[in-house]
Amino acid sequence: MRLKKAFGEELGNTITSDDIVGKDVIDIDGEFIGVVEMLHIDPSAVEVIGITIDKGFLRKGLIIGKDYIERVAPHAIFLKIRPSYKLKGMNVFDSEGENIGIVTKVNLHGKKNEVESIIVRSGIFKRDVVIPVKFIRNIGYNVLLSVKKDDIMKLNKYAS
Amino acid sequence: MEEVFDKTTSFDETINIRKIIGVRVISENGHTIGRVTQARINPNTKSFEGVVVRKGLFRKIYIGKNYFETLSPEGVILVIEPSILLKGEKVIAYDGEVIGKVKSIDRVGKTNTIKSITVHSFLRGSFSISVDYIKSIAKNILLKENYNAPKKSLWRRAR
Repeated sequence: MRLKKAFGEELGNTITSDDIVGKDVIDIDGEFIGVVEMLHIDPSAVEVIGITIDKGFLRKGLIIGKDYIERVAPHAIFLKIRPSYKLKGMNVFDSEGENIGIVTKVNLHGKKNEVESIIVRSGIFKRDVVIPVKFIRNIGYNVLLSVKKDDIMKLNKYAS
Repeated sequence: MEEVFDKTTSFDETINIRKIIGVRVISENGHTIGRVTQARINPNTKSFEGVVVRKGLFRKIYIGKNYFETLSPEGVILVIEPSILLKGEKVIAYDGEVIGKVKSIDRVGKTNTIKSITVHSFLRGSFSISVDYIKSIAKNILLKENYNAPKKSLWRRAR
């Protein structure tokens, strides 16, 4: 009650950093990403601007801005997005279901979660193929394209 | 090749059914379900009806052609995420708690439409959740806010 008076506002609906740190983080697909390791606070505005997620042993941490957080629930934090790093290692299939290769790199628009293009390692010669996002039809367990493999290969042939 | 046909598809528009045996079957979200082992034909209508997909060593799934998006010698892409494959997925309540894993799926007939799922957890036992309470289905199942999970109880389990 003293706190309420000291801050001059209702604190009943607020949560503390202890309620967030250590919580599971779940992406839009319902997949566990990791646990919250840190909260980032803007010192001038004194407001939370994001969280750092610990993805597990020996794995690089991930910073997620608050705009990508859907809600903080009692047992987990839900994201509005599927972090783009998760594309790495996915198989890429063309519009006919032919396997093109595996995503090795994801190019983003700045530091946002918007994919600009993906780089796919293809074929026995491990050739890197760039696939712009406009050719991606669906991303789920793997990446499905809206075009045929030949069209992608032609595009990369002319680009190189 | 000489052709004899009447008001049906010409030879150039067809594919050899042998070429789809062994091809990969991919779900709407890019999940590789398995490989085609059989192509099924209705002897009455003489039309192609679907494929049998082998998933793993022992599991076979028949998928009707209405669920196909593309069919080619490179692969079969579906317009669905087969609901029968949800077995074992985690079920997450609105508050983020994992309330169990999918034990079985109750469907409308043999279609891909889900009526309800049966979830099992150690402390909650088995319970059914209607599809109305499901918010999204992807890598795990997320439930809506208005679903109240059964309380954890050792007694319930023993009963």
